Amino acid sequence: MRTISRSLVLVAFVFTSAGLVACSAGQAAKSKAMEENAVVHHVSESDLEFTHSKQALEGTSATLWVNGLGCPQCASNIDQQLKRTRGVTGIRTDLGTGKVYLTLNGTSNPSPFTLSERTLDAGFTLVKVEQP
Amino acid sequence: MRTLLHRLAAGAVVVFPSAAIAQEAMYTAAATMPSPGTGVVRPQLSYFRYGTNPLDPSEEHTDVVEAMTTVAWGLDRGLALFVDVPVAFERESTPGDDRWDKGVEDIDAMLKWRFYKHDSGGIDTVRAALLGGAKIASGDDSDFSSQSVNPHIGAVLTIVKGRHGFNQDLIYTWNTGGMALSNLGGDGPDDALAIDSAYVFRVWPEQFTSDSIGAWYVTAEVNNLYETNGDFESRWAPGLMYEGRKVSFELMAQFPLYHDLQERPELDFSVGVGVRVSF
Repeated sequence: MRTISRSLVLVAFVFTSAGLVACSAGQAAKSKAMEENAVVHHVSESDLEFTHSKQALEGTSATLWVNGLGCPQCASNIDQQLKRTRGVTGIRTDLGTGKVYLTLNGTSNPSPFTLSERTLDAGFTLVKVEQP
Repeated sequence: MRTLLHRLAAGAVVVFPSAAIAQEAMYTAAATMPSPGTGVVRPQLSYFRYGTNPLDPSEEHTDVVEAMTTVAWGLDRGLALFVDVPVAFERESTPGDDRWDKGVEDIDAMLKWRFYKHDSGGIDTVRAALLGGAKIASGDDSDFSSQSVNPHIGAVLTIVKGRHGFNQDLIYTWNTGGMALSNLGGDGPDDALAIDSAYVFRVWPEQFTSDSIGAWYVTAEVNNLYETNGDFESRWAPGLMYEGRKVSFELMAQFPLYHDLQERPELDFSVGVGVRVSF
C-alpha cells in the first residue's frame, strides 16, 4: 500500500513539476512583452516630494500612484485604510495600473502626507499624487 | 472563461464557508499581514494520514482531521497578532481496534513584525518580517496538548515580481513539554526547526486590469522539519488558491519527499481546504 502511494506521489510530483516548468517556459516567451507592460511608475523627485506635503489637496478628486499593489487582497487593504481618511468619500483601486482613484468631499480634503501615511499603514508605498 | 472562473470561485466560497493574508501559501508563512485595525479569519480543515508509529508499532496508522482557525489582527503599521486554535479528531488504528479521540491542541499566539519593505513597482515588492510567539497549552489532555509553553522565533522573506511570488520562512521552536508518543511533527519533547519554501504563481489573470477583482494562483511548497532528536522530514505541498478582495479560498495537499524518522510516524499524505475572510 505504502509503495503504491509513494509511487503515486512521485508520479504526481514529476507531472506537477513538469507542468510548472512548461508553464514557466511558455511564460518566458511572453516575458519581454510582459516586462513592457509591467506596472512601473515613473516619477520625478518633485512628485515624491509632493507626497510629503502637509497642505490639503484642492478639488474633488485625486489619483494615487501606489507601488506594491500585487494582489486583490492588497486592493482591499488600501481601500480599508483610505476609507477611514477624513475627506475621502469614494475609492476605486485599479490593480491593472497600480493607481487608486479618490473622490474627495472638497471641503476637508486630506493632504498628500496624510494619504501617504494611510498608504504606508496599508502596507504599500505612495509615489505620486495626481490631480486633474 | 472569466465568467466561468468567477462562478467557480463564488461556488467554492459557498461550499467552503469562509478567506486572506495576501500572497501566502498554505504551509509557509509570508511577510504580509492585515493593516492596523483590520483582521483576517482563516479556518482550514485538513485530513492527515500517518503510518506506523515506531515508538508503538501496534499503531498501524493514525488518521487526524484537524480544524485550524487562525485569526490575525493588525496592531500597528507592520505589526500584527496571529492566533491559531487547532481542534483535532484523531483515530489510532491497531489490529482489531480503532481508538477515536478529540481535543484541542496547543494554541499558538504569534507576533509578526515587518522590518523591511521595498516596493519597487506597481506590483513588485520585497518584504521581510520577524516572527515571535509561543505555543501555549490548551488545557486538554497530553494526547493533544503539550501541557507547556513552547516559545518560537523565526523570520520570513517574501518576494513578489509580476506573476511570481516566493516565500521563505525559518522558525525555531523550543519545546519545553510534550510527549514523544503523541508527537506527529514538531510537538514532541525535542526542539524543532521548520524551514519552508513556497512558490506562488498567478495563473489568471495574466495581467491585472481595471476590472480585476480576483486572481487564481497555483502554489508549490517544500516543508522541512528537523527535530533535535535527529528526526528529519521533508514534504512537498501543491496547492490551488483563489484570492478575492475580501474572500479567498485554498485547496492543498502534502506528500512526503524524504524522511528519516525514528521517533514518530511518517506522513502518508494530507489534503485540506481553507478559507480566508478579511474584516
